[in-house]
Amino acid sequence: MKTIELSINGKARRISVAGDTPLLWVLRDELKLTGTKFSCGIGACGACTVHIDGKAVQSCQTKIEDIANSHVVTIEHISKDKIHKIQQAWINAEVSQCGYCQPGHIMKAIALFSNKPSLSRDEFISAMSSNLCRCGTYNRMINAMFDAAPTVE
Amino acid sequence: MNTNISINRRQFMKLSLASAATFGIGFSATGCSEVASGKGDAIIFNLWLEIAKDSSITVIVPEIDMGQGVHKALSMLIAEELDVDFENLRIRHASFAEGYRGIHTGGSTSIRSNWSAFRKAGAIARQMLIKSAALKWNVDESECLTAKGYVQLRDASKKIPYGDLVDTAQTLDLPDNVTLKSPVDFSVIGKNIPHFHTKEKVTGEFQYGIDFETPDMLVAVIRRCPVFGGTLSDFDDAKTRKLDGVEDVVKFGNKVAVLSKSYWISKKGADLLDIKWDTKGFDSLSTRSIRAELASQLPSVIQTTNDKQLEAVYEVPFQAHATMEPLSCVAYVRDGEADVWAATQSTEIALREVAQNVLNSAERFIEKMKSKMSDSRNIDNIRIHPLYPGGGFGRRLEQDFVVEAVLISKAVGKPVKTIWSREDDLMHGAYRAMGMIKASGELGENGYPKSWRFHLASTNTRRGFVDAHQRSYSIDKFEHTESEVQTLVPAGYWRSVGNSVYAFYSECFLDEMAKTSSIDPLEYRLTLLAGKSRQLAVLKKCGELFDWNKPLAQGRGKGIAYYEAYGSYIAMMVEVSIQNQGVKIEKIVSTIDCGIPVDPKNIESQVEGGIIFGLTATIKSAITLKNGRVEQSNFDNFPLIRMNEIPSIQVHVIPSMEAVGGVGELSVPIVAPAVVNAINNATGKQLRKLPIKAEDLV
Repeated sequence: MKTIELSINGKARRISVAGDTPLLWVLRDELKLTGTKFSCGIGACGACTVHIDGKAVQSCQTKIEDIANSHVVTIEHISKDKIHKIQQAWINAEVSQCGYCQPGHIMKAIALFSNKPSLSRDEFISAMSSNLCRCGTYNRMINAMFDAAPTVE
Repeated sequence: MNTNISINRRQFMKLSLASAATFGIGFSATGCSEVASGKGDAIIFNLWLEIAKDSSITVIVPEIDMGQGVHKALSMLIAEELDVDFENLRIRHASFAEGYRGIHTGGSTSIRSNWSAFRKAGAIARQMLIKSAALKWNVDESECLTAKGYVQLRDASKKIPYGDLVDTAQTLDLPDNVTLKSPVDFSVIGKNIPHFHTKEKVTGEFQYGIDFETPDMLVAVIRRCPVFGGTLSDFDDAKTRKLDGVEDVVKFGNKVAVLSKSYWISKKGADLLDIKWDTKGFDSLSTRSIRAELASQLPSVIQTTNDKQLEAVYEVPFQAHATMEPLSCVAYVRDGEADVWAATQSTEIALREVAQNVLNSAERFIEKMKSKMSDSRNIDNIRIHPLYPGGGFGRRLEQDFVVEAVLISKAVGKPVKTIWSREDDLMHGAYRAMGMIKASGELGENGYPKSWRFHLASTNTRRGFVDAHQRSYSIDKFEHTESEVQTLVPAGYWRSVGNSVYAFYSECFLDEMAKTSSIDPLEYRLTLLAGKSRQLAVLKKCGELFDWNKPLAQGRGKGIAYYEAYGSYIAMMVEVSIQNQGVKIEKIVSTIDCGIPVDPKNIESQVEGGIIFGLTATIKSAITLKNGRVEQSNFDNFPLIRMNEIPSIQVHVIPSMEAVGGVGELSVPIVAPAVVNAINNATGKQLRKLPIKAEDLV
């Protein structure tokens, strides 16, 4: 059992769990933040994507003891004040089917465009291929980012 | 022209529900003539809609929405006939407590089976609301009309919201007749309307089965024998019990569950179990051994005529569903009572299987007698609460994951949540059957088939049914026989079920016949479908959008497949290019005729989604067995198609006024034959086995 201090969604937190507990399960089981999803547990699908210090990270591959004092942001925090431009574009393009993978994709997309607003279509496709969607909504995601809303800031 | 329908009062009924604060319309599938007094005694009524005094409208849906958009589509039917704003509708799953007989979603039937009842329910309610207003205002009903949730006088001098009419509506008898809107007047059905739930799905608020919790719940991770048929011989849980946070270790049947307050502790605890499995006699089962048995069941083809004969053998592997949301269930069993929360596709099957495991044999006998007398499938002390699934694809029709949670909860007397890992999912799935097929046929002098015959040897025929083997092709003689090789590999309904196999071998074989006759495969199919207008229209439109007759560059090929199922028609054309590292799918065009399209944008999504789902099974992954166990365990060795691997996909929904047909599964079966036909066209080879791998093209 270890006690780790870090910031989650803007709040200072002290988490007491086994040090090797993945951030994914700290979020879901300890903090009841279930927007971040479990799907593969081996970093192959991206459903568990969160932001750590501004970067998109797979939370199932991140041990809590390795991220002391970092800033974690989950999907729940993105629309805390108002819906994000990218989320709105996703809604307008009617991307989601079952929706389970969508938070992970959206967290990845937000991180990508935040770090490089001029991201091209090909760069987007290449980077987003870290995330899986079994329902097959990929084209709608691309449409949402580039065809429906050509400039995403 | 609007359609006037007479109402069968034994089938439709207004319902004053327990709260008496609502006016509801229900529909009985059984058509019993006695009136229900309340919670489903003599008649089981399926509720379709509730209108509350505050004018909120709740659509009670007897189907599970796993992303295929049926909650939205069914609500559109109500919004159309009831004349309300779509955004104001709420949705609730039909439940046993309200006298509903059980949800069972699959087979692309949601819209077809509810189309008529939902429209009628909306129309009946609207008519009764008009009558209520007419009574209130002391005018003739013909003086009133509705406008998006209000009844008003024609001159708009008086207006009243539906909610204010609920009291009066509850006192009225059902009308004798009701008028349904004519399709030409549809303002909701067939239009592009924003999807509700979309916002919650992008903000992370939307709750799935795996997100559900009850107070004091324990989380269970289960270890199951990896070899099918193996048994649990012994286990040592000393290390597990020492792990901080582990609360219990439970043996049930041939499985062991580790319980704690969190998934991670239970998982670590399960990893620390030292389990001895007895797999003797079961560990020689393999894809190779199964294949040999399947092959031995294929008939020889005897030449009986002088016609040109063709013969071919096709092969399909086991396939997995791999829903993004792993299987999970929360169960609380105590004193013969049970509450079960699960993202299941069938509360009907869940109820039956939970009852079998919770009630003792005397209780089961009593319930069985009750159900015979009243046609009630209510078992009051067992409650199944359906949750939203993160993908179903047929996997959630099996209730294995529900029964496990029930058994563990029964053993510990507490609420238990089971969570399956991806490894559990891929190695303990309910797979689409593996099969080998012998195809044969005779060609007439004009090059067209006089007969075609198939024998399918499969590991499971019951969960491999096909909508209709005999399609619209004008081929004189058709024969399809099946045989089964029994194995312990669990079988499931994989999206499109037997169609996924049948379309592959029949459409590929048709192409082989066309090629032998040197006839273009599109022309071949158009000739065989001569005179059948919907079928021809689907193919011709596909050809036009794809530009089928345009010559292709060197190293490229094109392929076509056509299919009918679920009352719908679909065509697909694929262009491929041969690259150093394998096949590249350049473009896919698909046209679909599914009758009146309720939600066109969603139909496009379903067709496109089905294409991508089918592509994984065509060019990427399969389930194989060795040493009695599944060889695949996660997305590293069972990869799914990624965003950078999809081709350009164009889907066209043919405008139609015909009867609604099913859509959810329809595009999956024709992906494999369209792609394989294209690869064969590009390479000159004759590939007949799925999945296609790079080495197949060298």
